[in-house]
Amino acid sequence: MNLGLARLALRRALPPGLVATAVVLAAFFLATTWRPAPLEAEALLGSIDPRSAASAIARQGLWAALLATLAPFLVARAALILPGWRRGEVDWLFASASTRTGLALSAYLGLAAAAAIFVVFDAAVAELAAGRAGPGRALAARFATPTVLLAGDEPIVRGIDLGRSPAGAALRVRILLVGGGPAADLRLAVRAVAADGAVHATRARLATSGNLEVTLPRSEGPFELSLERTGGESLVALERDGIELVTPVASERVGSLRLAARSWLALCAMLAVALGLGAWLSAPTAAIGALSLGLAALLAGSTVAPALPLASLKEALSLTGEGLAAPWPSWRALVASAATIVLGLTLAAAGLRHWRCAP
Amino acid sequence: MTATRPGPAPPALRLRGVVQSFPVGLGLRRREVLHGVDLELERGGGLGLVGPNGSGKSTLLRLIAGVDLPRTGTVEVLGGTPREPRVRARVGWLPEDSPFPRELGALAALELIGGLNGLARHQARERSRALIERVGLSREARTPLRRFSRGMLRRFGLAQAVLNEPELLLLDEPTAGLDAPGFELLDELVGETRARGAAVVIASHLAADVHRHCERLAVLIDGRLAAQGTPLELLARADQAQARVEAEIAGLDARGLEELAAQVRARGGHWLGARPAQQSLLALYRRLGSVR
Repeated sequence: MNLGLARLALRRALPPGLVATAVVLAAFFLATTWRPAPLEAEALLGSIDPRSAASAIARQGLWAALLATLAPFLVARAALILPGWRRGEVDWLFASASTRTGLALSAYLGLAAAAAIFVVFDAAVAELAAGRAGPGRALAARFATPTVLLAGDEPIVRGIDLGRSPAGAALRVRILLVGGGPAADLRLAVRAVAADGAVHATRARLATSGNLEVTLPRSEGPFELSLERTGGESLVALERDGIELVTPVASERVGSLRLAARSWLALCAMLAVALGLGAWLSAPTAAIGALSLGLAALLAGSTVAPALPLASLKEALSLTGEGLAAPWPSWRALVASAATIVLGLTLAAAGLRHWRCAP
Repeated sequence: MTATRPGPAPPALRLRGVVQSFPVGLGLRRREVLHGVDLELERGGGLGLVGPNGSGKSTLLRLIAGVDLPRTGTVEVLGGTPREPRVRARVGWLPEDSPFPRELGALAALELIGGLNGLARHQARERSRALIERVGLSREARTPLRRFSRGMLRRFGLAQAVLNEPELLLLDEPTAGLDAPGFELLDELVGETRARGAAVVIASHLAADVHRHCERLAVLIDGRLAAQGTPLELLARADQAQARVEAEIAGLDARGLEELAAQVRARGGHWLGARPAQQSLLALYRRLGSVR
């Protein structure tokens, strides 16, 4: 691998025009109001902390906007690298003592560095928009459960297999209101099975689908969670895998940090695919191909290909908007990204090996 | 106990039955541009590849440089194949065009190429600085190559070709775009390379470009090696009525040249004219204040 060639690829991935565009777009997005009207109404009612909710929405908005508007440029720049070599640079690159695989790896290293700079920039702008940060909360685990309809007065009871509950941890339940009336009164309770008696409960009246949260007792697990309807007409269902463990983290900025890690992995995978396709196709076709594959992964979401980092990015952004830091990328996401990168680099190296230069 | 004696060093270059073709149209047909070329160059030798435009000179050099693979046949360079990194690190190449990284400054580009050729970082830096000065680009060391004129790019190309002190130097149309001082620089660099014992292959459609450094010429016509030999041997094979020679003469004034012309005519030759050689132009430039 050659660091000089990696630096050249980095420079080509982030040309001055793209950097200027990024700065202008960031300024535009920073000047945009991200606080929606319903949020202001809820803040007036005192049901949410307006500062932290506004921060969360600004953080989510800036991340989504910058990824949507700038990442395609980065992918397009990656798709340009190998066609550029093919147009004539092979003459000095291929005559060098470096192997073609080494050349492809060096170029990719530069692209991965460009992706890192890009996500650090996104995170900085998002945090600038989010403003002052207080202690944050993160999604720590999700417990498997099927979709269950809460019929009649019979509560839904679920065992939560957890060791000692972390300090300040809570269980969050995602609830769907599926018609039959305007609202439902609900009681969510959790108790430590072993401690026998320490029950934490919360009550709420829901008029739309949403979340209910209850603080976990400081105790050894396992725990038992029960959800019951205490009034109202609406039919209620517990969403599939809708029981989540939420734990405190040092800062709300942890959300951006974890989004940056996910975005970097997703970008690295897309850039490798764009680089690889560029060895076989024209630059525009390679760029469109890589972006189409990325879009397919994003639309498929975490249900179809949960391991792909891009597939879970949509959900991570959604959690960020709810004021929760998404989990760190899982080892499956790391493996899936590494596999995609290897695939892209294999395509690139194979393409370079078979190039013939027309006179 | 028997001692094994090392055999003779392999030639700098050995081509056997080299055929090269490229797909045309939708890739269903191929156009053959080299038709079974056999060629050999000993270590330290100088070979001029001459021929008209489109005769396959650049294609042949690309194969020797390891940029491309022949369709059939073998290419052996410095005892190995051109794609082996250990071989490529010992070959210097000036391509016909100047497709170097346009956004980099000359010094940075040279250091990058040195690094890709296996030079250690400090070595690449030192040699690059020395060569940038040598080829007269000190003032433009940090100027991006996209702002270079054709002649400046050619000087840069020469510098990158000799950066790794190659054992085989391949130059494709090296004089294209060069001015008189550039010609002198080319002569010096090629002379020094050959003095180190390296072999040189110079491809040009102008025979005058290759005479100075190549004791053997190979003539490529339509992808076939039509003839090879020393310049005088090739001259002997040419149509005598059409054959012409050029000579560079120093130390004669106009009157001396007239007398020489008279002697040529007296021996049955045709004196077609005399013009200043590159060296005369260079002397004039320097007299008028050029520092290069």
